[in-house]
Amino acid sequence: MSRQELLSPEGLRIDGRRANELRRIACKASVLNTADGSAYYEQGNTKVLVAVFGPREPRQRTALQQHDQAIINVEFNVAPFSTSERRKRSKGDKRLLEISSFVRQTFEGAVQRGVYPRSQIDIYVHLLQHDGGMLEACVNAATLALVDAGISMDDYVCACTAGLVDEQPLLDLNGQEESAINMPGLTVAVLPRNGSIALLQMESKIHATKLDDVMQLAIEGCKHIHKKLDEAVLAAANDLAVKLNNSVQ
Amino acid sequence: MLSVRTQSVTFRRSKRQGMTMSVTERYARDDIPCALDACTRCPMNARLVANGVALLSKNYGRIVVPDCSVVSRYIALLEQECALQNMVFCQTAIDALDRRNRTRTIRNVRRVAADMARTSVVFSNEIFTETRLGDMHGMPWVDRDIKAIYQAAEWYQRHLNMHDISVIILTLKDHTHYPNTNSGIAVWYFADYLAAYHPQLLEHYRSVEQATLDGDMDITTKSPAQYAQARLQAKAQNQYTAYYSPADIEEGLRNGTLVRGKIRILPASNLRSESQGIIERSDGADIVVSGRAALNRACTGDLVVVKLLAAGTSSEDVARDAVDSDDEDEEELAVEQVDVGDETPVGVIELSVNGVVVGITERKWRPFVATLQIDEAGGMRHLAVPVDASVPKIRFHYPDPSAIADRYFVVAIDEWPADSQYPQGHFIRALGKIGALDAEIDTILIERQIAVSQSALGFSEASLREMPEDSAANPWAPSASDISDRRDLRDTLVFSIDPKGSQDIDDAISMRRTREGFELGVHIADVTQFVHPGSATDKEACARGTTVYLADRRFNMIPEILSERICSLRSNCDRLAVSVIWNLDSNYKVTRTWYGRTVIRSACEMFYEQAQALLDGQRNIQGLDRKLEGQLAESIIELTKAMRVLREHRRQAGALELASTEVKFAFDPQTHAITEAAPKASLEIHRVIEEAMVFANAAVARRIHRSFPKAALLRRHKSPTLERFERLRRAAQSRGFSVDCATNASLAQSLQKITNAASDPDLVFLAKSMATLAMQEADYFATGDCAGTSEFAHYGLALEFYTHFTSPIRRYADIIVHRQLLDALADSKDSCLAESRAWVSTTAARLNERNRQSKIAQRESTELFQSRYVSQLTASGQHVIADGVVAEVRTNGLIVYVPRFGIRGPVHLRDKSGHIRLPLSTLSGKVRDVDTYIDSCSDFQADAEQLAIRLPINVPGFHLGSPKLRFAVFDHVKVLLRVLETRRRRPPVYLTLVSRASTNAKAYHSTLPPLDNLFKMSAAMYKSKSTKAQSDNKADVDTAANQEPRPAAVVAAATSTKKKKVDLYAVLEKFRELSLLEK
Repeated sequence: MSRQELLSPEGLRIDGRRANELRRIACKASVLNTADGSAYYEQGNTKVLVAVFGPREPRQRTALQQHDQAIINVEFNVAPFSTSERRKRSKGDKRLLEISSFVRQTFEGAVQRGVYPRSQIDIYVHLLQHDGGMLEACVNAATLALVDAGISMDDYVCACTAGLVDEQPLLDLNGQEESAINMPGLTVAVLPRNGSIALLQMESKIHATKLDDVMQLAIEGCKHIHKKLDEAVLAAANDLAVKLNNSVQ
Repeated sequence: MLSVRTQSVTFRRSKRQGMTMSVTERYARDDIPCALDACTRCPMNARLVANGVALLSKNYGRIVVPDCSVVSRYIALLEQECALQNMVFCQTAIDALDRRNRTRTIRNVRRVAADMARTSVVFSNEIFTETRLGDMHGMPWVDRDIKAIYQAAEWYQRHLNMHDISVIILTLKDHTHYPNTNSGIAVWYFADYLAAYHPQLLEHYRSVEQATLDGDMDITTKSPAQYAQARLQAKAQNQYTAYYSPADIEEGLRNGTLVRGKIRILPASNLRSESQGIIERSDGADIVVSGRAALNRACTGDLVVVKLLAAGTSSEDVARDAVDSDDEDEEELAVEQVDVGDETPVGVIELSVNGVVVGITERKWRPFVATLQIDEAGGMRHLAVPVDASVPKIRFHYPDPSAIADRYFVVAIDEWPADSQYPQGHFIRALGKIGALDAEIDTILIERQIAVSQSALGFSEASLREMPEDSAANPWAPSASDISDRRDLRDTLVFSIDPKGSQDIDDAISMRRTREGFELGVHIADVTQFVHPGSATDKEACARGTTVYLADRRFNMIPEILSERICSLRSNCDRLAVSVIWNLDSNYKVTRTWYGRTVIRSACEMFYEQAQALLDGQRNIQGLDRKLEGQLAESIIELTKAMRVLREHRRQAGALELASTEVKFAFDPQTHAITEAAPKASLEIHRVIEEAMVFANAAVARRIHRSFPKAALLRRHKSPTLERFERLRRAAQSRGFSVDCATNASLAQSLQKITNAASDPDLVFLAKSMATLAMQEADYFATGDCAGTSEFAHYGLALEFYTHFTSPIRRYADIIVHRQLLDALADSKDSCLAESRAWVSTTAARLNERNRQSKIAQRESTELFQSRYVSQLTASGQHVIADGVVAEVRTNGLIVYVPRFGIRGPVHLRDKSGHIRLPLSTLSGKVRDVDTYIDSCSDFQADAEQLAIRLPINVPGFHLGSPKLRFAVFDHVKVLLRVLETRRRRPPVYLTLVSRASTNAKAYHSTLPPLDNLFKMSAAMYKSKSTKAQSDNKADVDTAANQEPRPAAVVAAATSTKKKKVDLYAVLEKFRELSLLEK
């Protein structure tokens, strides 16, 4: 694989971006008819499809223990064809369970669960293609799908990653950058309007003095993503309005 | 701004799934700057400046765009020649290199671009919307890259048209590859360009052209896929040959076409261009395997199977040394300074045959201590450079190289596949920082396989549970049955003499007059009473084999409670012992010998200096009991008398008196800094005690052999072959001494003659140590393994039977001997039936190995402290200058012995390329000249005992009428001691000649015939002349070394020996010096 430098002296990354640029984001809500809410989300070459079901009657009886609010259930799947080497993952893959629990915890804070007592909200996340930023794409796509399902939330949850190379924070790491050694990858999810943080995750080391810069950059990224999601929601609403008008006429 | 997003698809081989496709995206943008300093249309240029990137200079008048062929093939030229400026390296070229895994070349390109003086830039044309190529369906990569670069050049031409700058593409390709447009871009051959603008670089160009003629440096000759294929093929060719199958090996060994043996690797060095393996055979000539390909992955110590080559074919003919040396680094060059070459041939032709390794039956891979080879590429895979130079570099994975970059660490080798240049290994653990004392000691312990760390040298709980109790409240004392079973010698005057501060006293002595003559007793601590065969302590002790003494610490063989307290024969305590008691008549002939267990009570533990003082007739010695002094002195004097006689007997039988270079360090207790380093002094009392121990050992050896003719553990010293003494013989001859090495007696006599005649104590010392080096090491063996008692002989001590009996606290061999002796006397509680011949024989072999390793560890730790001491002195701003004696002549320098520090260090006089590096200080005697070399020296000649260099005529100190500067063995020189700072290993001490002022006389000395009978001369006459001469000589010395006060002790020693033996030469030489000075 390429062992080229991650950030050239000219300030360009391997894929031609500068340090503070996001990858291309394309997203669309209401892509599935069978689900209550759904979204397709692309960030560079990372592609995620999310279906949301609920609020509905809980399937497991144990879930009723929290009878005053909705429980959130997240299932995360990685398509075997998502990376260049085909690889099947079992359901019990700890890595997948970890991601799904991150997503669940993130939304447990953002969804107004008290509105839906004695019910369950299922979020099914499918990673179709993976090229870095798996968790951020999942969170963003799930937000879009939840909005599409009409579930009350405090705010959008927007996630973004950032890394650090040669003291320079990098926004939105792609697969090559993510797999480079000595690259700390920080994932932040925020509620953009009040700026509170819903998720903060990092698996490697970063110097404490640099953490602030990296996090600021990631939060900047989240704000951009918020705009993109907002546009997608508006587009879906427009779509719906057009359809409604059509059916009314 | 980001505009277009493209996908690039690449294919690569993966181990698991074969060919896989990987897709990466790339964003094209329109804000790529041209990077010309005068350009006003590119606002992003300012950003480049802010990032510290060099810009193209308008003043240069032209912009040069080297294409892929030039960049890939002539990167060495582009990088080194600063005259080449204003180059634009296209991203296309970098991508093309990356596609072919030419990371190193990319790094070089980046280095050029980073150099501000070169005003060269990397132009990201592939992501620039205006220069990037669209989809190139099916176009070959090579053509596509040419097109891309041309497009970039065209853009530059357009962009800079107002600046009057021409754009030149440099290529090696035919011009037909380039589109013929009238855009005004010049496409030049690289050579034509150099001829037009930089004719001075043409020569360099040609040399690079020659060097890269057949390689695949030029990437444009092949597509990436072909290139990868070619590389794979090249790699397959570079593979090591596969080993023979076990069946083939077995058959080959049976019918004699193959030979099996233990290989020893000599690493490549200054004079050996490639590493060599040597397999020593007891029958027939040694086998030499040279070259990495022929060695075929063998490591030192491996049991290898070798195919012999017909005489005349060397290993190189069989297999080309397939290894490219692109990973050499500067560190290795620095080491050259201390790497003095091979021994010079002494005329004895060693027969050897060449061979190639075809199989390895047993690997001797152990964990190795290594340091990291710094590799800028980063990544997870690194090369470990083992401290032991004979071990190859080891590939291993480690995530964070910066954490271990300045440390020693331990790696193990896992495998060495045929297609891998280096063995594959894994990281075990990190040790301390390179240069830190504890890390260095750990390194020694691990490398010598003494222990995995210092802390692992504690004792196990199981072993400690076996220990008897001994505390302040409840001190250990022998029980009543202990005493009743033993001969009670508590009323006899027993004393011990040991080095100052000794804790583990394993021997004590008694000597008293009897009616018939004398009764001499040697009492040895009875360790076997406490260490029973098969117990945890016994197993532990057996595994350790010996106590390891390092310069500043020691690692005990048995727990301290035994070694320092219960077994140690402390004064005024009842202690258990095994004794040998002789009745001697008044002529010191043995009339009766008694062996057995005893209980003793040592009256006094003395140290050597105290005992020597008693022997010299002094009284009221500090630290001794006044009342006892008289008795002790009497005993010691009687003992000395007896031992002188015994020693004389042995000497007449041919015992050798040899020298050792033990150095003692004194430490500051707080800082652990070394306050003093001096060779150990030798007193007569040392030899007296030694003689008593030899006497006891010999007696016990005889006794156990009588009872166990097949299984006794004895120690022998094989007589060396005559050829090994050749070097000593020649060196001594050059000083007018003849050495007869036919037998130990004749050798001893020759050495004695040198001792008596030579005016120079260092010469005597060196002659003795050369004799020691020529000899084989003494070793333990089981008597059953030898054909007859004639093979038992101890050459050095001139004894028929010898063993080790006197130090059971620190040597496991002595414990076995104790058990055998007690069994022989049927006095043992633990039967040692287990210690059968086979067991004794294998244990003996193991103990020999342990002893050898611990001896090496001890030597290494001494070297460590010597180098620390020198660097400590150097750090405080001193120039460490000392007198030295040439000990050996090597093929590219000298080994000089510095008596003051006990250091043998290299003096490097010729470098790898054969240039003579004679420092100016050699003639001027000034320290500031040590790093200036005398130009145009010639005629470097090194033979067995002399090294000669012809000086140029214009040398300032040209003198003595002889244009040749000679250094012969035993010549005195003055040297500056320095420590070579390396990152790789224990910093070695190296020496630089500062003066040979005192050698002139000696050089003549050697050319004159020997005049043994003229040595005698009236002392009075000498004295009257010599005082003047000496003061003169001293003045001379002082000017040569005015930075360093000459140690008084050395001066005193020198003068005293001069007075003792009046040497006519010395007197004549003083006269000569005077006359020279007066001129």
